[in-house]
Amino acid sequence: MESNADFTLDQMLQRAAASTLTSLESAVDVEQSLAELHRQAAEQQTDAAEPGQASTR
Amino acid sequence: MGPREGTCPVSNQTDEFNEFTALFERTDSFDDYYRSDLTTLIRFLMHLGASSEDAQEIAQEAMMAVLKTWRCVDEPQAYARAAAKTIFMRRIGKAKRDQDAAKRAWTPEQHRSPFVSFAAEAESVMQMLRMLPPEQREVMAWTIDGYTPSQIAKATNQNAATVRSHLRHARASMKNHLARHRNTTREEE
Repeated sequence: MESNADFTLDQMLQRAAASTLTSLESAVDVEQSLAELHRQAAEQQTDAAEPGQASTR
Repeated sequence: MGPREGTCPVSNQTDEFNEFTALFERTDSFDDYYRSDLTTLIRFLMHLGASSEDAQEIAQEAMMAVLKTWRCVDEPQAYARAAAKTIFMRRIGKAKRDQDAAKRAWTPEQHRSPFVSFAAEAESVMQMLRMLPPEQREVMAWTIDGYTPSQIAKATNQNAATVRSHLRHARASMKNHLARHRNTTREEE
């Protein structure tokens, strides 16, 4: 009985995790997010190179 | 789980700029890691209790932390999750001071208009996770991402026995919830 409950829970968690990931993969534009991350990093790099200068954002 | 000791010296004032610029050099290996882990990191945050929108923002912030320490991090996935959890907890603290933000953070996905919709079973698992105490929820989020109790203990600076205890209690609560739900469904039939 106990192992049945464990099995049921594990199966449910696995299905839900896979399904959530599939939904996210279809909704999130990873390449665009990556480009945005590098843009922000470059901006921070510029700010670090010019200490005391206000950000242009 | 943090930066490797010895390989990433603490920057001093003189080296700070050079080191900072070096850390931000675009690396293909980071890009590959980012592509492979972004959505699972968002999912991890949702299992912690973040809304899908907040999870996306926090994941991006955590990825920036990974990029900044890219050359020094042994296990970027674990590092990203630890950073993401810290950022999420900071946001929760801030949200408690802001009732509207707090409501948004804890409202089930189907009661808002999220950027993505999830299957009913995935929603009910997220609801079950959100009923757990935070420490149990965190252990479940790591477990769902494939981490063992020992690995979770290392990544979260906890005792392995404590992690196992949280995991045992979390699973017991979730199994009880499922059993109660099953009984209720039978009675309704």
